[in-house]
Amino acid sequence: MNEFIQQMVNGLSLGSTYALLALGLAIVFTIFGLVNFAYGELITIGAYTMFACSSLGLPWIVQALAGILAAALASILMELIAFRPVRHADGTTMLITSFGVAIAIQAVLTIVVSARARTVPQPSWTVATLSVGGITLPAYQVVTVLVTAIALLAMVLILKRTNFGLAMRGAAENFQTARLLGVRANRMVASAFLISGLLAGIGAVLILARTGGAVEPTMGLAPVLKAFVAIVIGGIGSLSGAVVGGLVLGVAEVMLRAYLPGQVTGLTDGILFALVVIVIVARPEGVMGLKARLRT
Amino acid sequence: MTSRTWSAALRSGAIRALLLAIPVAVLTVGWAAARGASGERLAIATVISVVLVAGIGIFVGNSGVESFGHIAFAAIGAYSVAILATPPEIKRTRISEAPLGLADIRLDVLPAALVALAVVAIAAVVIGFVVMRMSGISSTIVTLALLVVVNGVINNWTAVTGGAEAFYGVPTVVTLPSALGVMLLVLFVASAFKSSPWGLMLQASREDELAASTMGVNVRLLRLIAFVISAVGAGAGGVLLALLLGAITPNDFFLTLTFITIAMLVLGGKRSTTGAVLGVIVVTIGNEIFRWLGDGPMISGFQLPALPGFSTLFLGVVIIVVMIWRSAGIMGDREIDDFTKRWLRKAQVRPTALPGSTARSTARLNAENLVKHFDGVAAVDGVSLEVGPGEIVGLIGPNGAGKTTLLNLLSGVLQADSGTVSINGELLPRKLHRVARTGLARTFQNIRLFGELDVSENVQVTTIVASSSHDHLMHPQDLLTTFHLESQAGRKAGVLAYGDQRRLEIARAAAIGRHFVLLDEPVAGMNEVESLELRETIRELNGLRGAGILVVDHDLSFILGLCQRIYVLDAGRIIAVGTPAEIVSNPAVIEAYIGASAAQHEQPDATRGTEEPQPDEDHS
Repeated sequence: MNEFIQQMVNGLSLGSTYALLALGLAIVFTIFGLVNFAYGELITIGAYTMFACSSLGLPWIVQALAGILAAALASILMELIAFRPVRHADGTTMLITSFGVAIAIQAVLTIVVSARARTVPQPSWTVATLSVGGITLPAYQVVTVLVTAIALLAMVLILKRTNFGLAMRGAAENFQTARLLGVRANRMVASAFLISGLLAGIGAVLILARTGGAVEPTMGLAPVLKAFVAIVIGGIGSLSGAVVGGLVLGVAEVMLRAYLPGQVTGLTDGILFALVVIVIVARPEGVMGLKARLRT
Repeated sequence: MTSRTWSAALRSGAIRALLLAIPVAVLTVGWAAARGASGERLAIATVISVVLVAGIGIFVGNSGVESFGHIAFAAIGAYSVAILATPPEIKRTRISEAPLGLADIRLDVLPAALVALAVVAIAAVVIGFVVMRMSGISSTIVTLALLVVVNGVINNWTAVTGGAEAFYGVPTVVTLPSALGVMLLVLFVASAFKSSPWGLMLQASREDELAASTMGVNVRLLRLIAFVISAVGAGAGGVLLALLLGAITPNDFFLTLTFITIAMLVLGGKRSTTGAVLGVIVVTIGNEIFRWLGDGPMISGFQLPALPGFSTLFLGVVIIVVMIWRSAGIMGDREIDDFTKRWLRKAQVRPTALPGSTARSTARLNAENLVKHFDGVAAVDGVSLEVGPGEIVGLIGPNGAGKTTLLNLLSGVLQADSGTVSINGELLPRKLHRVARTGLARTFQNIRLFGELDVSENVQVTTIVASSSHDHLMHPQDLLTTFHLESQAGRKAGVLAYGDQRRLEIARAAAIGRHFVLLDEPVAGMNEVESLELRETIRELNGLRGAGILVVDHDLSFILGLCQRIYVLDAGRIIAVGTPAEIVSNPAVIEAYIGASAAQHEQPDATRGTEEPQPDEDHS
């Protein structure tokens, strides 16, 4: 039983990271119609900024803040440079553009730093454990869940309680109508990319705490793929669906890893994706049953 | 005007494949001759790239669904041929514990390659079955997941694949001529598919999936077919690559190759086989230059620094620039034979219409007690109506009366909560693409043409479907003549004038609407002259084969002047039915349609004029 609770917490911690990332993808998709493949590279940029700061000997908290800010800045720049020119193109054109952006950023990091993995030393609390009622939990997992919960709560408050959030939700429902009603399009799009980048940056900090600080140019692929799958599970175009999809995916992944027989644990992702595909074939609009709003 | 028949497709496919293969052969053979062994390797790799990219294009170009996962099929092909064709002596040192005695199998290269392609085809059927059930973006994400999963399986299934380390000892039998031979075959398949009836129907679904389905195109099946053919093409590229390299690793068939092939595909133009070839050549040359620069060459005495990743940066920038500058790629939809047509005279193959019966339609369309709710609101609330053989029936009603919902129920786009739609007593099929095949077709309020296809092709989509489902064929050219579109045959549907677009949509529906054609606000946005013209067109359509016609419109004078019988819908219910004369004098109609106050002050006859208040049009 204790082991199950530990695995559950682990699953929730991984799932909350996925939820955070999926939310960042979904916000840009609902406002802009872009499935941003280069979102993974925002995580990478956040992580490499932390690497740069740690090389300069800056304290961890500064590294983390710099990483989050760098990811947010990179997200806004991405929109300005690469995505604004293809704004009125179809979804596929935007998707491929983001694919090109991802490749270019990976290449730049390979040229400037190295293709090989580097390490950002992690603070000691990331390897500490907490004992709660006879259950031992790694501290980073608890922190991950808490940080995600705070970030999600902040998002909900912004979206539900501020004029800005109202405009944003309106734009997510129907961008053209929101524009006609006086919502400023460029500002709305930039805000979406800003929030998306902030979430990617927080994701980067949490991922490094989980993995012990390994950074490499292609590190963004695995998390962005999980975030993609999470938004497909939750129903593309739905913000709450993205969060639920992320949590479901994380818990499922940890449980599979924990309880699959040893010789097939290497195939966890394969089995996980296969399960997801089966679920989606049964419920093409996402398990939440929310209606997918696809720009075609 | 191009005819989309299989014989024409095979002919033009063969011509196009040869036209494309010749320059590639000249370039690669020349390069190999000039640069010796290393030149030959690059030449073969370039030819293999054409195989991969043209293969991927069969699916991506025709269906419009992006795939990031086709390199997974190259990986499956490569590993399958490696496992089957590598001599057992070498295999036993790496994968001695493989099941099914795979380590002891000794197959010649050709049978091994064929089995490998069969494995790819089976995998593609299974995966395609899933991908076809999803919408565009979701299926793209699934293809990406496929790439990662296949890579993970090859990396982890050490007993069979040898894991992350190189699988070596694969016979290196690929020569430039044999690679060119495979390329010619793949180019032929890609070109012929694009020009074929299947290709046309799939392109129609790329332009507008809903319209294609309502015209009888089985979108899922065609996507599956194209996906499997395309996967086998990519698989052939993988097989060749394994037989060229001799030693393969899982990462040879992962992100780098995906990046390169996507850059090639989008640069040349996804929809063009010629573009595939062009993209491969341009990207290969650019990639080699940047790789050379990235290796830190000596240029006139200066040692440049080595910059690994330089060629990858080039690929990324190429993709971004092409997307911003010209997202359809260099070629767009065009092909090499479009340019050579002038001197290679193409014989027009006129498809022969089957000798169908000239008897007029005797079908009767019945709707019984149709109910449809949206979020608890009854949009259609117990409607029964009938369209008899050859009858022109009108359906009018104020905004929000449920007219378009009713039309969607009658045409199978929506399923009713209760009630039935039947033709001659037979229930309407539940699958949308089967509805058109019963001889019932429709148009859309907001015009849904296949914009990137030309006028003739728009009509051919339905004549092709019609030819497989019932015996009364119309030749596309005759249809265009009937609807006064023959002079526009070669123009893209998306650039036509508004009135022509409306007429084309009706012509397209007429080709398959043997028994019924449902028209959703055909004169919306037209002036009086245009709408009078369209009235004549609809009468011609009705006279042609006696198809029953249901017209939904706001324009009362248009409906009154055209229809023999009129239903009036208000708040989801039929409130009146009758001849035009009966309808204009029915007080319930006047109240619902013009408003109670107007009914008190005006003579019923006033509604016949052209100045009666028009309800706003509910364009969506």
